Amino acid sequence: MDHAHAPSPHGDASHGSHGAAHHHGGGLSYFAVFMILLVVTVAEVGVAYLPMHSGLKIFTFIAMALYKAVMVAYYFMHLKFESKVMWLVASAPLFLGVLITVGTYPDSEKGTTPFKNGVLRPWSPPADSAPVEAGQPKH
Amino acid sequence: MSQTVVAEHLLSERRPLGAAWDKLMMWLFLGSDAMGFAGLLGAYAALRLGDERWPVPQEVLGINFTALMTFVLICSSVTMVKSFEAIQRDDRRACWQWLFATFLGGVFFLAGQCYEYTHLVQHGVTISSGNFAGTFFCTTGFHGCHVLGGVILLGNALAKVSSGQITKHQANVIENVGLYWHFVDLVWILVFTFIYLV
Repeated sequence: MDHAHAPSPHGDASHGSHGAAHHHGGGLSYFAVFMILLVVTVAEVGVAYLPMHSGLKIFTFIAMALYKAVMVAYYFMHLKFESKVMWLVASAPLFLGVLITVGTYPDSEKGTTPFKNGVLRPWSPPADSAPVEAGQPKH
Repeated sequence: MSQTVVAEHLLSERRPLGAAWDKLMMWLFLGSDAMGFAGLLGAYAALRLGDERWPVPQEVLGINFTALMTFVLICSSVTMVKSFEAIQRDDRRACWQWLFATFLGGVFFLAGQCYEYTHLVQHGVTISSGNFAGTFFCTTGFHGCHVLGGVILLGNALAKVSSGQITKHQANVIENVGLYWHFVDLVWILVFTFIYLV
């Protein structure tokens, strides 16, 4: 594994019809990216066993995971050579994931108990009358 | 627009969004595929937030073993990118060797997942064991199917490189296989964090 910088995927004649955009590589080598990913993964496992505040721990995990994901997309998937619109295509699912989680949060907070107790029956016909409680006079 | 016009348009030098057609299509596929994973992880988050009896993942799942699987997948991403680098130099032999290393990484990951599932099921953790186990098996199983697809793609690419069907002039094929494989790695990084660690 050499330490050469990551070459541009468009930078030679292998892309006969793709050669219009000619970028030059730069930044970290593949080996450096590999080492970063390895170190962060080991750090993640280490943090998992650390007695930390749960909120801080979750924030640390998410920050490390997003960092690793960006490194893979930027260097290995060569996103650094792509146009900004392609960045948008690549990052759209992330926004969707956040939207789903934030959007369902008010409902998820209520929990799954109503389903477990059989309370929610959206397609069942409504009961003819509410059960009369003991001790109450009928009208 | 007739088929001929469409074909000419696709084969033209035009680069929509600054990328070749095949690469653009792969990116769009990966973007839509990632929506599926976003939905699964979103469902996981919603169920977890609403379930008071959610277990501590580290007490149910083997973190150290899965970290090893993660390490292998990261290694396979490096070998994949080295394979693409080699075919750009028209070094088919090196390309094949790096591709084969990537293939082995994928097979190891699949074997590891089979072992993990077997171990969990033998200890009573099945897909119907509750919200945690259900979402765990659905999400990691969905990802495992992607790894299997990637291994098949890699096997196909290996055959084409060895038979000379892929050379420097078809390096874009290796690039697109690589994009898919890196995506599988990227998704696993998120799945490992959200399901195993958080």
